[in-house]
Amino acid sequence: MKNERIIEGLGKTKAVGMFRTMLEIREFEEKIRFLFLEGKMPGTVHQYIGMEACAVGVCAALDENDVIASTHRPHGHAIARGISMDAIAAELYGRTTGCCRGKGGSMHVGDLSKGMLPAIAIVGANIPIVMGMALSFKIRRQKKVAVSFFGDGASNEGAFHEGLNMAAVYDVPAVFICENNQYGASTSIKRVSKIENIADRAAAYGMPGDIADGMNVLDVYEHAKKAVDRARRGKGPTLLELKTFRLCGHSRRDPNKYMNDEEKEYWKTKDPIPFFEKVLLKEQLIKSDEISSLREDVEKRVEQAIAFGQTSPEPAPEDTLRDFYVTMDVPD
Amino acid sequence: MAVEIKMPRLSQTTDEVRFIRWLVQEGETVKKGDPLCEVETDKVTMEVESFTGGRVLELITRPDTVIDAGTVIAVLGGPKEKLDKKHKIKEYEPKHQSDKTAETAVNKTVFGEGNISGQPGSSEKKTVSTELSGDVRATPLVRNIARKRGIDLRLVQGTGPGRLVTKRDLEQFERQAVAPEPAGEPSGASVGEAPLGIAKRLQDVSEEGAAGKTIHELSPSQAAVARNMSRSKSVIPHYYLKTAVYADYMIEHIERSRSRVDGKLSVYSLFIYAAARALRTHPELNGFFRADPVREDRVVYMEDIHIGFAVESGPQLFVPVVRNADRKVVEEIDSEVKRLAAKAKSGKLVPHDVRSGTFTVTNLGIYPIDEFYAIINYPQLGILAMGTIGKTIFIDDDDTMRIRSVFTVTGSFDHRCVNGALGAKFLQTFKQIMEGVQAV
Repeated sequence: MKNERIIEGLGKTKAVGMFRTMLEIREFEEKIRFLFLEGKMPGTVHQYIGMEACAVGVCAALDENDVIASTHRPHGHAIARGISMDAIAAELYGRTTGCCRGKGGSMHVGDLSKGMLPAIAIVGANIPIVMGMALSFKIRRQKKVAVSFFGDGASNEGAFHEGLNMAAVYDVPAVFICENNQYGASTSIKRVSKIENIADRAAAYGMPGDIADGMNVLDVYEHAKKAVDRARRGKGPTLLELKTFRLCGHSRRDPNKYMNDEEKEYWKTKDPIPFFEKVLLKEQLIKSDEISSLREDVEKRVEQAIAFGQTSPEPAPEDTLRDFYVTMDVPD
Repeated sequence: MAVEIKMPRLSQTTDEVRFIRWLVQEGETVKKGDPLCEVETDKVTMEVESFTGGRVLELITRPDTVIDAGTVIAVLGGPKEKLDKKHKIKEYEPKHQSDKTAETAVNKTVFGEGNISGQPGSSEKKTVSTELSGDVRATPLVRNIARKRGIDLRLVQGTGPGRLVTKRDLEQFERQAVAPEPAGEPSGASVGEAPLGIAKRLQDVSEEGAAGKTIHELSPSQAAVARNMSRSKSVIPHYYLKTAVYADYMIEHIERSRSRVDGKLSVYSLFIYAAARALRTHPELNGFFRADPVREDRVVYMEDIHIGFAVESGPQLFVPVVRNADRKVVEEIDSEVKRLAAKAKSGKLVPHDVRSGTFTVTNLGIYPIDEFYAIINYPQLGILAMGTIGKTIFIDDDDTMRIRSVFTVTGSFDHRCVNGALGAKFLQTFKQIMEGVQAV
């Protein structure tokens, strides 16, 4: 019932668009996974498989001018924020056409012109930055919202405490999204936190703490919308916890043996993509044959993006110092 | 079209992985994403999935070998496809085998250059001589070292890809070359018999007019072994007890384990198992003697039973430790023993692997050694040494005779705090467990 109501608010085009974005993230990550096995993908990658509803649900609640900050697991956030897969793939390959001109790689994808800070891979490190960004929006009286994505592991970092406390004190327009995927790398959150919900910590800072089902994109959207609207109205920040799970290892080299089979099976049944697909079919917003053609189309798009990345030129030696310095007029 | 499957780069810290086993067979069809094999990196054991689908045409990598990321491990193809000649020609050599298969390099036929072994009358000897005169594959670094030290690279067995001589091979070769000479042999004669490159080296470093001396610096780990040995033998008043242990029960147990997924249990694992169980009954042998210059000497008994077992790697000695061995079933001990032994052989033990041992066992049973007296691993209280398993005529209580398997186990104990009766009781318990007389 609730899902129907949310979908009605979203409208058909936006709902189907969100589904497509989720498919794009999944397909992109799967493709990368196999390229890595093939030895064609350099470096390591942290993948977003299973968590698609989080990025897509939150980003659907944002305006064009809002800014998000991501983590070492940023591919999903970047795609959901509308950065082209071409630019992301090229960045992974370290090519000039990448969103950071090939100098950032997997863990730093982002594009400020598209409303995403290049990702900050240090655990918890984007929280104070987002707080600062939100404070600047407030001081400049801009109606923008800053959103920080971080994981359950980050919630035990000092930066989390400092950032959230200060954000609450200054009532800044920020939303702190904790994607609680149950594991900080290989450490279960249950081993390092005595409380059930990370959202409960919001009470310590005097801000609202909210929880959404991170495997249901509609639920994520509704709760994120509430938090974003609140921030935009100048009412201050929210800590929103999304209960989710990664259906893959922490990084490409992680066989995630620390998770037990029951747990993996349980979360697999909650896979956000088949779930949303079922809702869309039930609401008759899409037909099964449309889904197949959508999937085919997404597959083709991802292949094109990868090909674009692979064939783009590598940075030239003379580009080494480019982007290091800002040129600006100095007043007399 | 045939597709080569390469080993992905699975570790951030090293390119080397130990290839454990195949999870597919030649001729089998695999889907994209199916697990192909199991490998061990420096951190973890994991399955490697296929990035593509197809029929397995060839499995190239042999189990229990160490290979580099990027090595072609298998070839996949279409359903009807036969193995392409192009792939057959190449020969993929493992970096080095965990187990010793010494002769392989000499007798190997080279694909695509078949004429050597194909010639009439060409025997093993000929192959060797061809190899000697042929081009040696080595990196500039290795060539440089060899030149400086006067080593003839043609004599060094290369274990890298395509028999490339690596720095490690060079070191291995040197170690073998500087092994102690048999006593009593005139050193001049041995120089004459030494391989070309070495002869030069031997003369170069001759000291005080006596030819045949070489200087070999011990690695830090082996220097520690040396210090520990002399301290133990000079400080601890050793005494030795030996007993014959009938091995029929143990052998039967091992035979039963043959069909296990992880393969046959090793003798060493059962040895460790029994020693740990016996120590639980006799905790007064599990601990350390602490000499105290000021107060009275003390003995520290340990609650945890961590059994170290001696493993050789060339001239080196390592004692990796199976922690809490008394609380582990023999299968658990076995997999740890195999893992640690492989690490020792490939020089990959980390400090954690060799720390905290409370008792030690050693085994020369694969050699024709009937019994031996081991040196206690200082400051522990004892060590058990196992000889080779042989057959003996056994006379039953009713005077009938039968043939049984037997080996001798010798215990070395510290007489300062383990008296003869204690040592004997411990050996008795050990024997009973090994023979299946005493249930644990």
